[in-house]
Amino acid sequence: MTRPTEASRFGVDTGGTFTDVVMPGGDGRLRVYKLLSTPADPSEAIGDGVEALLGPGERPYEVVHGTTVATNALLERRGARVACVITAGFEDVLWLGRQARPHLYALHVTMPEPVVARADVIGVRERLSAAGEVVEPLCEAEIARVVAEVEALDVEAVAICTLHAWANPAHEASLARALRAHAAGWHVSASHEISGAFREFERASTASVNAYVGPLMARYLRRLQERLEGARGVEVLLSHGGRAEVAFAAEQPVHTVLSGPAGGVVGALQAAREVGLETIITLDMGGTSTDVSLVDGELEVREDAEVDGLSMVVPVIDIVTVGAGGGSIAYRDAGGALRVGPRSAGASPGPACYGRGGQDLTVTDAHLALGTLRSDRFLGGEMTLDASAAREALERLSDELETPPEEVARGVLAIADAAMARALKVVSLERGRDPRDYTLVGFGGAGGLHACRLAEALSMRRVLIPQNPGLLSARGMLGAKRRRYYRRTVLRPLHDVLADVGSLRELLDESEARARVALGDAQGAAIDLRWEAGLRYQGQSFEVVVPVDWAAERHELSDPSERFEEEHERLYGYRADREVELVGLRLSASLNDAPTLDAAAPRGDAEALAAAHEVMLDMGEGPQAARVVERAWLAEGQRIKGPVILTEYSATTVVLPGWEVVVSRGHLILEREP
Amino acid sequence: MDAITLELERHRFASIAEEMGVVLMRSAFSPNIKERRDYSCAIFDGAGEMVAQAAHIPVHLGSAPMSVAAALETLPMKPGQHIILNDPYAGGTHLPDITLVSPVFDGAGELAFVVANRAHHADVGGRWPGSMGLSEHIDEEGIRLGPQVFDEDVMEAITSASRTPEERRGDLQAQLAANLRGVARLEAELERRGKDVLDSCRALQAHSERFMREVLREVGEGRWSYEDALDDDGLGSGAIRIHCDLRIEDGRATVDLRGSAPAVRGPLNVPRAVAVSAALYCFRCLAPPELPSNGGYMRCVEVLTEAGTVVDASYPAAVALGNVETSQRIVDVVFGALALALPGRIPAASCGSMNNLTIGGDDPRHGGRPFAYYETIAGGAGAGPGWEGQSAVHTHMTNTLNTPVEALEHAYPIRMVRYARREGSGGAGRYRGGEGVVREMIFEAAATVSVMAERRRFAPYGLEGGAPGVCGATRLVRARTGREDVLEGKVSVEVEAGDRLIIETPGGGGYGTPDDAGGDST
Repeated sequence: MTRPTEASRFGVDTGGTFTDVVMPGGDGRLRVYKLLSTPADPSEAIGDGVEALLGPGERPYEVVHGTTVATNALLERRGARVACVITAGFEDVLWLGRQARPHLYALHVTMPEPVVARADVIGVRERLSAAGEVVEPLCEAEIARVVAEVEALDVEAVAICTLHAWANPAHEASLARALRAHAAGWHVSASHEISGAFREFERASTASVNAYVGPLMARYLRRLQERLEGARGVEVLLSHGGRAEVAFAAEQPVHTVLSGPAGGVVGALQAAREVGLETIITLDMGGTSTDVSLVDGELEVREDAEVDGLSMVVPVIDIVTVGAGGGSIAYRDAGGALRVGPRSAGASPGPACYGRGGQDLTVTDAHLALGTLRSDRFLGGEMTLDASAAREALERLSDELETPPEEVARGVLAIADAAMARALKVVSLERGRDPRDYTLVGFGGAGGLHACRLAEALSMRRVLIPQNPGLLSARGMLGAKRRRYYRRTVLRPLHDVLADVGSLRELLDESEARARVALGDAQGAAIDLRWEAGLRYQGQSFEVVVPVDWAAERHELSDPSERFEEEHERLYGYRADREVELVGLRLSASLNDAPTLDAAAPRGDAEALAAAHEVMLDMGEGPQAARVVERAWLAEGQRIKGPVILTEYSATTVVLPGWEVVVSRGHLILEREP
Repeated sequence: MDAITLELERHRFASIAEEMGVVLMRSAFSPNIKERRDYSCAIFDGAGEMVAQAAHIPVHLGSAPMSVAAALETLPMKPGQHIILNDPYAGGTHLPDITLVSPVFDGAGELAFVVANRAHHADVGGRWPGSMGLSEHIDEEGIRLGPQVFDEDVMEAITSASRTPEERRGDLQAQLAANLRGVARLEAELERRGKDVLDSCRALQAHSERFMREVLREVGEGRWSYEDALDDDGLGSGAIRIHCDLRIEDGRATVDLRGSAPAVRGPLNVPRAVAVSAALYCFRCLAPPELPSNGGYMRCVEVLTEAGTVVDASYPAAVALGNVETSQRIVDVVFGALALALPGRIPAASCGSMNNLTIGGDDPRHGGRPFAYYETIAGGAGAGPGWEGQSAVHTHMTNTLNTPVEALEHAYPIRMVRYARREGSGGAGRYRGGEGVVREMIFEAAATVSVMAERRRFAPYGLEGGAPGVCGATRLVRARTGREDVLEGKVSVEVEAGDRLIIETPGGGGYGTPDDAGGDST
């Protein structure tokens, strides 16, 4: 479904170093622009990038962007001063957390510091039971007292979390109403508005984070809208891979904390669909870490996120991160083994070969030493890598380990692979999926360097390297749908619920109504409503999520028991003869309004390809000649066999012997020869 | 084995152990395992030496190998069989910790690996809900299983002994599922790589041993002693001495606990396995976090105990609480001795008790369905050279998650009134100890309540002039009379609907002499 009038649409990813802007041009080609980010006010680079690509007469336009404003504010702890209103007796909830320490064997025990000062917590006299019944009423005088106390603090935002708001939000709602009515114009976050999940610490933490980044985000989005005054719509990519309008992102910025990585997964799925694939595992390898996610046709969304130790219960794409990236440092441990990461050389000083004073051998240096990374082709030749610095770092470690340098370099790559392979196993095998049924999609600066190797390690037969792998996240912004999630906690035996579906009606109808309003039902666009049930055997505390049908007009809820038992067996290997509990219901509502990108068919350069030079490559099975080929030299439909090194502006792809590449709709499909 | 292969092999085995843990956690039933993560999984070689471990609870560190050793000694393993045990005198720790051991055979039918997992079961029978009370004899603590083949009869025996049979069945199924996953993965390794896999295990263990010897060589050489005490055994024993003579020489440590008190009547005794775990934990903390967790480093730490003492229990000594309380005191004395060896490196004592709370009864909201709830409450961490102690956190031998108030009130007839940090409980010092916790609750139905806690008399020590943390306390307010009683540290009481229980946990010790700005001095 497309919008009434076609508008140019931009996808923008604001990273720490670069801001990537992409836009489908009239000829079906993707126009791309990369410029330095402007961290002080990210909207500057966005505005400049959009201007640079926007041709005359191409208004109106729309912008979807991934933002790191909330994430950075959390990491750097420079959000707003927040007052926190908590049920009296539980004011310390953010400091108690879940009582567990993050590092088991640390002499110095530390816990992440909440974003709220303890002196800014206000206890409110009220109490509900787990059934949502009023144990102690919240009276008007108490609300007035709370408002006055907030007033006495010099805060910009207020977070509210009362016990059992998941069962009955009335008390939180009354407090929120009173606080919002106040002339001070506080940014007010009531926990139940963000999540209907139970567990007070996680909900309180979510509300506090939301309040903390709220004012900053609201200001930023206002500036961005001013700068993009010609834009018909400005939207933000949320951590769950759906888009939302600016007003929502300003109100609930906690939903944007994993916006960037989500863009990558959405972009990977989009690229995969363009070549007819749907079951993928994404491998987004950057400088300090690698993000891995499995997609079975649809994005997998879970409801717990963590940034810098802060817990949030918000829908996020299920991404597993490991501390292995191009900048991961290799060293000899006290027992004499070679270790890689999690310490990283980061962007500064960076790998030894960046020539900025880095002395330690990194994964990137190992690639350079082995020849898989070409010193003259990095960032399109804009940056020359210092091969001798990499060599020196390698030789130092080689002496220390008394192992030949080439062997050490190969070892560093193999160990980085082992760490990433563990993440790939976590998202597949541990969850009852066979990686051989999936295509590995490699992107980010270094994804293409390791994708073939990792596919071999997991016996996967196919790898996809999308067009512009370094800009995939921005491309993902273009393909994202406008989407919202609504989560309601039920916590009742499933058979009770099925026998009395009417009791859920209000809950479900209300969620659907909210979804319709939020997604702009008035525009008449088709809204795709999908319900999922979180189920568990009575007594378990993790739920298994399965789809369920809710026919609103007939008030019929399909029985998800069989699907649940199947899924439980697949995940854990058994079914139990126990009552099934309905933990909650989740509504995913989306507008099917993302444009289809016409991926361009590259023309290639047969002449250049024929003249490609060769280098000797030794990946451990003896030296072999590998061609060094610019990706742009390959034409649509062209096939080329490994070993070959494919270079392009933002990435390098290594095609191992035994693999064949075919260019399809501008993407590279690598297949292992049988 | 070269430096590179070593690391690749480490990843391989660690990921199998972790995967077992994921299967166990996700498929288990009781909040103990799922929410609190009171379990661990490990892989052993055919001789029973550990190859890899995924542990969230340090008390399982050294005790898991002893379970496997007991299983190997007792029974010739057969393919497809699983050995179950919880006997504290034969490889167990305390009865709620049930261990399942499964063999992995190579193509030639030789025992190549053993996988094991251990999980804390909320109730294995005995006189008290949660199987923790003031027992005097092991038989009062629940069902005791020497190493034996796990079959439907054993399952039946456990479930019929427990107050929560369905939950036990679910948890045991989960334990089995975890081992089956480990067995399948290791069989695949054996098939793919044959006997080479076994050489890798030996190399990994040798590497970990070299690693720890390096750490110990840096400590230097010498002998140091430290002594502390447990309050009492709950049955009037008075102070129970825990003594450590530490010797470090040529990269090897000897932790001699033989100077500790004779076994006590109450349930504060620990089997040797727990003493070994506590000692190993301390050295694990000294090493950098990347020390590979396998049997190799354990070779460098010798623990000496004498049978019949409180740190080396023999039948029929009661052990229900030793695992959770005495283990903490062993840590305190080993760190106390290490603080003498390494001044300026070791922090003051932490809370030193797991503040065990067990509540059992019938839930009137669900037609009198029985329930058993068990939780450990955090306390303050000790301050260290350059840092204040963290408040309200689990320290040393435990690291379980709490049960959220919203989950607790949904599942049990209990209403929480207050859950907070306990202001002023951290020991004064240049760096203050962390604060303990206050948990206050009202019972909505009659129940049996046990609070088993330590550091009610002898406070967590400060170091370098820092003051000790404040001792813990338990109070009960009766609804009928309005009377408030201060309870003993270890107590089981019957409560009525409306009664109110207040538990205050100890703070951590302070570090360094308070300076002028530091307020109250010792």
